[in-house]
Amino acid sequence: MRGMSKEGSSVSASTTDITGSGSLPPVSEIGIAALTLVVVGGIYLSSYPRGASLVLPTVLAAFAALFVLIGAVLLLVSKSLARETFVKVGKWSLLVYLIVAGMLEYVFVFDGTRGGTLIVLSAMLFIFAVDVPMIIAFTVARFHNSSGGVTS
Amino acid sequence: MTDVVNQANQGSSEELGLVGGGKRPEFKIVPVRTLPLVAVVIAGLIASIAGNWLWGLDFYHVVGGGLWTGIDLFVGFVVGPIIGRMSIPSRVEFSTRFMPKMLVIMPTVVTMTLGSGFQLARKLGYFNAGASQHGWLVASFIVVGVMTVIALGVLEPANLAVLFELKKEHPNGRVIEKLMRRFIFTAGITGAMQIATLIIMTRVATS
Repeated sequence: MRGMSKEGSSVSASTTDITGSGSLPPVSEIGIAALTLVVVGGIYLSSYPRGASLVLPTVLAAFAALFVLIGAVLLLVSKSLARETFVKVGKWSLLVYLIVAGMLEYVFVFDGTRGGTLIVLSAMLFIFAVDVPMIIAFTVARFHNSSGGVTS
Repeated sequence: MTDVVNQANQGSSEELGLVGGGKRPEFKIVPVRTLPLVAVVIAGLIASIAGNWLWGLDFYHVVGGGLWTGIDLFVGFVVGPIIGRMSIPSRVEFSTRFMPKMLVIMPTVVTMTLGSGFQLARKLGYFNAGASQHGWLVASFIVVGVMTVIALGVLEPANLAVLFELKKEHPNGRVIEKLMRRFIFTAGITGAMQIATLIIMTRVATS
């Protein structure tokens, strides 16, 4: 899908499917849905840190985890994804978001959050720490084959 | 804004001014030299939280929040439209210098604001459902929640993908244009949320 310019340099043809999105699963959309559920659950719990019912946040966290799992499975079975780029971006993003989630976990424990609330919050933080890197890595990887190689 | 999209519809490296003499400035996706400064800022935030240091928490929240709101509105409504009217090579050059810095600045500023704000609200008793500011606090959570989903789910991945594209030997203008559209389309939502934040925070401070 490349043409040659007058100078002999290869340039990307602009008529091709630049994203490959036709053959890639909707991982970003699924990831954003999971992130939304986690954020809603987090808002609910943070609004009522003492005595909030855990039913709603637990259900939201369960659906969010399910969405992340579905996204991960779709990534595993996808043949057209630039896996090398996905792993390269994903591992560093995961490190960053694990640190962020760890800091948030520290704040919750430091503030005296305990029991079921802490378990649900921890689960949400873990989902958040896995979900955001998945969205980031997928977004970068889906455009990987759009043109030339990385220069450095 | 349509001229931004139309102009960017030209899609090859050649059109980006990167073939036949056009040169992009060298850049790193993550400007590593700035990370020690980020570490110092975050260490101060952790110390303020761990020590429940009221002035420190207030300082981090006011400075971080002011920068976050100011940068968001300024970039969305002043810098963004200016970039849209620049030539594509100029836009690429600006982006290669601007976006790596934003990749470091924005997460740091957001962490400062939210980390200190949460702890400040707890220390001042605003989490108590009976507190007069509790409703405003919940409203601020909702606003922050909307901005979190947009920032982490839509904008940050696009920012990184643009930088990876610009690192390629032959960047594809159509890819960059497609990704940059996300910033244009979300600027209105982000702007509205930031104005809501200003209203909420001034209400919290005065009620």
